[in-house]
Amino acid sequence: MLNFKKHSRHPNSNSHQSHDGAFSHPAKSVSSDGIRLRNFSLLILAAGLLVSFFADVEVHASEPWLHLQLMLQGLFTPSVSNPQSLLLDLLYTVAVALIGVSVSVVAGFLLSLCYEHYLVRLCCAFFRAIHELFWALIFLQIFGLSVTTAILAIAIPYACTFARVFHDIYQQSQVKITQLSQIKRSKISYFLYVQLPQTLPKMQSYLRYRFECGIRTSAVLGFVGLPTIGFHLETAFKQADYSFAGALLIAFYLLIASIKYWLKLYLLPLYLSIAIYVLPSSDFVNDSENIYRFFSSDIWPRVVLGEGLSVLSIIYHYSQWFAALFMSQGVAGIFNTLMLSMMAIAATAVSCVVMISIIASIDQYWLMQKIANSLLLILRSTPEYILAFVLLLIIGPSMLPAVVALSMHNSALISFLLQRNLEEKYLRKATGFSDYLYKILPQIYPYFISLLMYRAEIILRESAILGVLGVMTLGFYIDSAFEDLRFDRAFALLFITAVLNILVDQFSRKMQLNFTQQGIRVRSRD
Amino acid sequence: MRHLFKLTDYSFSYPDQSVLAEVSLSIEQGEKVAIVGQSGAGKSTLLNVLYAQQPDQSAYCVQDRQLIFGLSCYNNIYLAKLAEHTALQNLLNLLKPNPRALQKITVIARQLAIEDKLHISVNKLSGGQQQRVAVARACYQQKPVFIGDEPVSNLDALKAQQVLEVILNSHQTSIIALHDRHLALQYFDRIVGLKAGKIAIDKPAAKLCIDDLDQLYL
Repeated sequence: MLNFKKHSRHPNSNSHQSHDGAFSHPAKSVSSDGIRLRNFSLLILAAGLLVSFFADVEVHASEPWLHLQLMLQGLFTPSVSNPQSLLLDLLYTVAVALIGVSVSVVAGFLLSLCYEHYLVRLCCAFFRAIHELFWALIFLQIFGLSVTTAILAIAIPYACTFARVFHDIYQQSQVKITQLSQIKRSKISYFLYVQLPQTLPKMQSYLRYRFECGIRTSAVLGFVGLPTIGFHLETAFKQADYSFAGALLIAFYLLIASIKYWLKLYLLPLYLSIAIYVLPSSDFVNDSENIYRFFSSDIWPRVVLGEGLSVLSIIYHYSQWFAALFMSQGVAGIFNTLMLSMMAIAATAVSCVVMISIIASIDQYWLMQKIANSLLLILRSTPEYILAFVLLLIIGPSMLPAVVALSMHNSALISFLLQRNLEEKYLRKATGFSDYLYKILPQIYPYFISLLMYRAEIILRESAILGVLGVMTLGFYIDSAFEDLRFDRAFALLFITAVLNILVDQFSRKMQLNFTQQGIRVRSRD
Repeated sequence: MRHLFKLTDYSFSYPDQSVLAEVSLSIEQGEKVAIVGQSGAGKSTLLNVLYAQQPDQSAYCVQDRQLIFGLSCYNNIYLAKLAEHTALQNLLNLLKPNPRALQKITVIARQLAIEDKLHISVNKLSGGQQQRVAVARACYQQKPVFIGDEPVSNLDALKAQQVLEVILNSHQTSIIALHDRHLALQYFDRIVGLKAGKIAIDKPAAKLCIDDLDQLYL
């Protein structure tokens, strides 16, 4: 049904350019780019709507507005009984993020050098597909509630992300030194002298962005009990101590907003040594026996652990066991995860269009623009997980809070990127709504769809993890398996989750490449 | 005498546009050839084709310079001989310049008047200075043939002469695309004029005057 053209296209290709494109392939393209984009958007919306008829998106709470009112009251009357412990929370959150991201950037850099290798790519895709919280749940079983767990949970998926992004960045290096053909004989030298110097600024700017992500992740890790700010945030919300929750959130936003003032890469060694110094050293446990037991017996079902089983019968028993698990939990989990993702993507698309329309039409009003921008900043700084957690308390247990949380966070982020894109191109000169419809929207729409596809993978990853909060996605089954100490199940379900994520990633990457020249992998912030 | 470069009825075109049409040209060792003609006349394509005939003998200074902005001038010049050193030597050179390479590069940089800029990042230099770094990179290859695509176009008249002299003196054979007809007449033995992908002039410089060359630009 959708037949996207294969030739590359500028992110901001407007209708004029697309006519050129159509002109060069008169036989192949029947409808214009605009029609294709419209069809694709309608398909996304239709899928989301259709799914919502079958999904549980009702409000289950008895008095959601009252609850919300109480929360907002708390948020605006923040109070802290123990400021020292709040500061310590923040310090731990930052320290864990700093160490985790630093470890991952070194590992990711090394991996990026051999990223061409099929196995490296596969492993990276697989490890990246497993959410940081899932990693935390895994390492909790080995290292307990310790700093090691938190650092590894950040370091492993981040290293794999760094590997891919750095590798993508190398490909973008402009100068290839064509007049010195023999130079490419030594790959290392070529990398050191040609690729690295050109791409280092981009890599640094991506690293800075990742530090911000790391702090958000580190905060969320508190929700599984690790000693970061999320731990007290969860408690405060659950105990309805909204003033304390408000104080914690405000402290968190201030921390995020202040990053650009204190996070200088040349100060990193200093920060790292402080981080290592402040973190409780007894927490760096290293229990090799635990690790061995976990990987040799804990994560395998009993049917394959019997003595004297041949390899074939192990494979046979495992696949039977796996098939049974897949049918009983996997299918439902995948189904719900995909439903949630589709609704979230559709909702993100709609709220993006609304948000960017509002932003474009309040261009002249300075104060309103400032307020809108700060709202966007707050929404995109709040991790989806925390948003969903709070909304779940207000709305009650259904898919609705998850959809709202995912679409709020992602549409705020996409709107921010679109807005920046408009500013870069000096396009924000709409004088009215019609003007906006005809002048601005067509220019940013391809870029918007491509961003949406880029976020699709992340939305899926988050959809799975929101199961930990009680939505019946894959994360729900994984979390239950961990709670029941059924690590064999958890392991198999994590595998399913990772494979699903890789498949969706492949798909969204393909869709994204249909709308931009080189995809949007690097969201550098400088 | 053996031909260093030889083209017979050579044509080159992109799908929708012809660039070189039936070009016949041979260049001997020791010649100093200027290639003149309007932008788009096919000069760069001709140089590419010639370079492909003797890639090991020639140092090619391309028009877009291909400088690496994150690196110092010194390292940009050193880059020419990357393949002659081991990866470890190259890595160490990034940390501290290799003394022998530095000595050789300093000599070349002095001739091109960029000696004081060697340890400055190349993106901090002016266009003309960057152009001389690109020339220095080509010279540092120490090849018998220099092929240059507008290597002095961004320099003032005096600097252009100096740089051209350095290039011509340090290479046995030079083939250089130029816009400046006066420089072409003054410094080269032979001038090849291109017009719309065809050779319009191919004569010793001594037998040409400025008006002959101006015809190419009409």
